[in-house]
Amino acid sequence: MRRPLIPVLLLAAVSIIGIVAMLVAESVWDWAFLAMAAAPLVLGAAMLRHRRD
Amino acid sequence: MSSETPSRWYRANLWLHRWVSLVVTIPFLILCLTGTVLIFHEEIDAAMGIVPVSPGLTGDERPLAESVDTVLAAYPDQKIIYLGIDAEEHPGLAIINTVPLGDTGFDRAALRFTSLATAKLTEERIESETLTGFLLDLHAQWFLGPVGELIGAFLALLVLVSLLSGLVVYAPHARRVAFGALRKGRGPRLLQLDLHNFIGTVVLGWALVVTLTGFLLGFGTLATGLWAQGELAHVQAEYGGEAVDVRAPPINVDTAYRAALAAAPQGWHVSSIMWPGTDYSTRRHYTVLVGGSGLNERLVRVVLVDAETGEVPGTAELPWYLKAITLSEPLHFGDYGGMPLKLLWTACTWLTLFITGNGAWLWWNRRKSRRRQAVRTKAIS
Repeated sequence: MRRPLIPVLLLAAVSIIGIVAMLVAESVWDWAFLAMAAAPLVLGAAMLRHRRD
Repeated sequence: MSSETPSRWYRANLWLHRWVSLVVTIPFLILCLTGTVLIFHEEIDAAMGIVPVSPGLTGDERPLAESVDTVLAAYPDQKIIYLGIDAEEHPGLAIINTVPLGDTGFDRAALRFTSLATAKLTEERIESETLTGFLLDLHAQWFLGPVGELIGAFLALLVLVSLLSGLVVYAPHARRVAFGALRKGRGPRLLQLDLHNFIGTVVLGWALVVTLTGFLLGFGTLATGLWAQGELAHVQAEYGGEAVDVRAPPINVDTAYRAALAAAPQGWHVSSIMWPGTDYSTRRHYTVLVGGSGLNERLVRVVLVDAETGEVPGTAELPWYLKAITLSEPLHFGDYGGMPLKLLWTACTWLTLFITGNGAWLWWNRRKSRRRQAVRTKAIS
């Protein structure tokens, strides 16, 4: 039951770390953390482009 | 899943996800719509001329006391209770709150701005009369004041339950249908269900952050009151002393500013000054909030400055619960990372708005088809 959720939880964790780290971080790191925060959206858009079931 | 009987855990979560989500659908739609506008509150306020255009820092600023004198001269029946300096959002401006002479709280506070370069008044409006103020009242308090905040916290809790139960319900689906797969051409229900699951997983991290921080923010007024009645009341009793003239304290605001800065760690800055005789200071002390950079910019420290002598009798950190609530605000509104973060917040809000609506449609559609099925079965029998 838990295994299929691991990628989803990992993706959510990356996003949460990005969102929180962006609040703490300064200057150049902001972009790296913004990318982490937006990672699920970007990955989702990429998946939609490549999968046409 | 189809060949197995769903476990009790799964059925309980399905029930929770379905009914809790349906209960919060309408309030959540309102929260998403008002939240979308509030993400851009700075831009909207600036465009509507409610907040004056920040002139920027020139390095040639007038003493703060001159701004104070300007405001007091313009409003002789009022006193100043707060002066804020926000070099990032409002560079070159002093943000000043005035209240009628007998008041100690912010309930009837009016917002004034002065230019730090000229010490002259700029625009003046009261926050609650603006469009964003109106929407914030709806979003944060449902027009019900502190009780509305607690209702908001309860709604956030329901959304959190909906998210977590949705995750449990999604698990068997994730095993059968690949991430990102949309079963097109097999009816609208399957397509909408795949969209619901897919978008739900994409916005999960963001939704957890916004929901949890929304829950904490719902306790903002309660926690501040708790702090004021507990730790602050203790400080007020300890450092009571003889009251000073709250409209014109013997030590002016610039001296209080410098004293607080000297007591703060190296590199920190003053963000807010509250006058003596308010709910958040003593009868003879200024309460000055100082912040550092990064996380410390949010986790401010409190410095008391004696308005008679200019001495600093003590500094204190905010209690953990106020720190959590203070940190929750930017994380909830997504207004700390410039336009790219605001656009990400908007995209996530709209996607969440979509799955809220499409989730309700899935329930309604299933109900409708079950009814049709029942009618057919009845007709055949």
